[in-house]
Amino acid sequence: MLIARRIIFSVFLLAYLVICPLLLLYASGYIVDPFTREVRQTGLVRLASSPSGARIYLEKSRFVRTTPATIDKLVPGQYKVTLTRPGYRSWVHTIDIKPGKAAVFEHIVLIPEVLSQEAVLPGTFEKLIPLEGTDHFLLAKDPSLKGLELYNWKNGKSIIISDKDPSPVLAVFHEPDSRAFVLHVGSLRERKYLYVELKNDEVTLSDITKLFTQDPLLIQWDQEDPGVLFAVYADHVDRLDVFSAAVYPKYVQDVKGSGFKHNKMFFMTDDNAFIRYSLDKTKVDPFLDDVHFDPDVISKNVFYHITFPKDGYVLLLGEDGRLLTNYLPYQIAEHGVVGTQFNARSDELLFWSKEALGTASFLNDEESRIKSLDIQNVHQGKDIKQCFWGADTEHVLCLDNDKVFFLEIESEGREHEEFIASVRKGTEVFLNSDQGDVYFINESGALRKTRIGAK
Amino acid sequence: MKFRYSRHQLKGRAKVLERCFEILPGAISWTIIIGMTGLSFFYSLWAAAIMVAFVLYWVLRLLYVNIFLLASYVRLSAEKDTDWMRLISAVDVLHTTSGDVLLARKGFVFKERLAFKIHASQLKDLRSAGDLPPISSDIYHLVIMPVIRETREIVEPGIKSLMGGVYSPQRVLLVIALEERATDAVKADVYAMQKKHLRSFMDFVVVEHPSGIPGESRVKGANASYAARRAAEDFLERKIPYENVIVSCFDADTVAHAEYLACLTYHFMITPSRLRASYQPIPVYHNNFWEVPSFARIVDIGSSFFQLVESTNSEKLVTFSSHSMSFKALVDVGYWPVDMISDDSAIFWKSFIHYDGNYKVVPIYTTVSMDIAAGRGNRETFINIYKQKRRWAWGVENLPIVMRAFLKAKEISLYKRLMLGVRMFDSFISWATWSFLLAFITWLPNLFAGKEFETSTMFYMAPRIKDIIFVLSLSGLLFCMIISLLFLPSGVKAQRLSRRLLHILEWMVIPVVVLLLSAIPALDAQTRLMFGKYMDFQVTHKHRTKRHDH
Repeated sequence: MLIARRIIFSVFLLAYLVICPLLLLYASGYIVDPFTREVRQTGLVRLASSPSGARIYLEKSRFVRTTPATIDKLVPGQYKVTLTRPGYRSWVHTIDIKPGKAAVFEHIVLIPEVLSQEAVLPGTFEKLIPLEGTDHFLLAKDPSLKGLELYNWKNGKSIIISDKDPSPVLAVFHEPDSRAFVLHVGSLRERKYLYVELKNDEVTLSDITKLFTQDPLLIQWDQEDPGVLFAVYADHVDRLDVFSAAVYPKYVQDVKGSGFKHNKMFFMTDDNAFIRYSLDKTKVDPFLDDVHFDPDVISKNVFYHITFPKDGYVLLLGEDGRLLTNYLPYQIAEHGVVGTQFNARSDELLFWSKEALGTASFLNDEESRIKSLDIQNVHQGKDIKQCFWGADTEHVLCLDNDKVFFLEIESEGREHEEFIASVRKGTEVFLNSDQGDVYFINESGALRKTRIGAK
Repeated sequence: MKFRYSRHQLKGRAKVLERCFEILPGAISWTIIIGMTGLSFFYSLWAAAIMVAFVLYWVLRLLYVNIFLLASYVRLSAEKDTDWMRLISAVDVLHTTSGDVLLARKGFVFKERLAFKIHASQLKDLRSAGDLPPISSDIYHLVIMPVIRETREIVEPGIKSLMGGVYSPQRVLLVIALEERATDAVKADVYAMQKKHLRSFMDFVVVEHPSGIPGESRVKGANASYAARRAAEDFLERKIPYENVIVSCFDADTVAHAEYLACLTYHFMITPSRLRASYQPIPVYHNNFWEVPSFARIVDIGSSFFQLVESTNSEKLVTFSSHSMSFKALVDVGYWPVDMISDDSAIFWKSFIHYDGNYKVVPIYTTVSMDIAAGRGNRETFINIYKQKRRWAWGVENLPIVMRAFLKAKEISLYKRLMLGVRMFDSFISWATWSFLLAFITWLPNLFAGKEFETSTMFYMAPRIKDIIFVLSLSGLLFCMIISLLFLPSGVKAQRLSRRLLHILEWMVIPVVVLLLSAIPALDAQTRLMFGKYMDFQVTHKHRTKRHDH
């Protein structure tokens, strides 16, 4: 038995010594090329689509398996991959297979061939104004206040804000996630500021015109304390307490940037210093003191809107479209940025100008404690107005030149720019990212909803 | 080699060495578990590659072990119908004739042919070794059964199994090693059994082991050693040389197979250098097999299988649980350690070191049946089994002592020391870590994958390879299920078909059972040793409600 045991042990040991390295090489992509008889390292492609079950074509070969699938042992090189599914548009992409690497397409969204559009509300509309972070958006039947409706996309109800006031709506001020907004209505001679508060699908209007000494550049507030507004003027900021109708003129002076978060006021002073106040101004301390902007980077005579998309992240968007942050090299874009959207799950920022769409990944090197950016230009447009992250960071919904596109930004090229709908000229759209529903006003003025796919 | 087989009363370098070797198994096990978790987090690619290599190693070892499980099972089956008394007579004949001896009739069935071949070969080896045994009529048995809280219901079936065996109990000195601190009820039971069965044996002695003897711990070995010393005096009085005595130390619940003593006597006689050997039967846990929860059944079948596999490797076999040995060796080495919990394996290592490596364990292909640790409910059973397995895993306490001895034992070849040392480490480390690696850590690289690893072929290929290997391992599981069914003795096998089918399904819980009732107790024991939190001996609760025929 002992001898038999030793022989069997030797066989197993030999088997292990042979199989183990072969298996590890195989897992690393090494195969013997059936044609050249040479050992070479291959790559693979991982394809997963929503909906799943799409047929996979690699060049002209069709694979038996449908998505999700992994196709391995691919000799390095370029391959044209096509996914098809009845009722959906084909997804075509040229992939670059590298040795030992996996080309991963984990979130391919197949767009229906025909996107059905659902009528949401009767009547025609001229404008759609999203209220970011709320269950509502504003719809304007005409430029007047009485033509303005507040639509709740969750329950499908709409509320008329004021059925009598014919004053034209000049501007809407809103802070993300806040359940209040300020309407600037009237003519230049008879201007009016209305504070609108949302409570259980009802709105309360308060005329706060008397709190303003002149037309502000901006009205900002901390969404945690929406009763305290800050009217931003060219060189100072007034504090306005809505409920007590109190004004604190020139609450802060000589500033050229402001932002409000967590019951704190953040200002950029004229000499490019950053200070932080408590709301009652009893506490003052510097912030961003570890950030050293090059003085040339900060535009002169330009006001900066300071936002905090997530704790530890600061964005400064200048009136000229210069976008700065507290991550090296501090400048995301030199000019032209008109909008940003932050993905808090992946720490990625979407920013856009009229002509281009870019992403910035915020990187934290725990070891060196260096905060840096990885900035990519991902799409060229004609007149980009709005962009939204999709359910992941590979997809973006983009309103460009009055057309809505669904972009796959991780895979390069325009081949994944899927047209969704045309919207009425100059109007905005709203994306309910949970359901994948896009709300828009079509060219004939009707409010429509189209579903491009759930999360 | 003169060596004090104990971790107590050490001084200087020996004390430091002992402590280092105590720390080592736990430290290695934890390093593997934490290290692989950390590697999965920081270097996922490397971790994935290591896990592929490990899973392949594991499945090959599983298949390798299955081969020997089958071989051992076949051997056990082949030996099942052996007439050991006839074989004993055949060995006796060697004293009077130089020619061929008459063995059992060569049959036509494979098993009979195999048994014939084995016995013929054993006789040939004995003849060529020239180390003839005493004639069987001069051989005596000493059976020691330590009792502390086991009731008559637990102990008596074991006594009856010795009385009802094919070997004459009149050649058996039965000693009940009774702890002084046992309850009056237990003592009354023991003395009642002595009175009842006294005449059935050559003698039936009850030796009460006083508590608190200096140098002793509250362990079974102290009790058994005390009883063995008293038995030695008895043999001296009877003028029976120790060389002619085989001692068996049985757990109180041990029910020996009817052929056990005959089989043991044969193996004692047929083994050259028989005085330097222990004799290891296959422990099975059939006494209360169907009375315990399924997880308890599976974990103890696993233990039997382990012993079956080990029995094929006499080079590395170590005594476990109920076993037998030459009484002369036991006296020479100074009896069982009196301060160690794992006396069953400790006595082998003690003897091995005492005889400079010239000591072995001879597997004997017959069974001794014991109880599965049980409780009044699932929870209590689980806790009892956990404690029992932790006690078994506490066998790791031998490692530092053996390693210290190996460092000094120049008489034992370096190869042998290395082989056994590595084997010892391997068995304890794999016992504590493999289940963790297989159940959790094998999945971690993909869970913690960073961007770099996520876009490598390894990220996709490693899980696929592991899945295939795991499917392959199912064949091993299937094999265990079949052997498990065949392994049930006739009395138990006669259970309803539905119950037997259910028993097959019980194997599905093996990954969980092995983790909870094998790996974690082993890691627990190693961690305690690592931190110097030494364990006390705790008697496993045995619970039997029905009687079975075995």
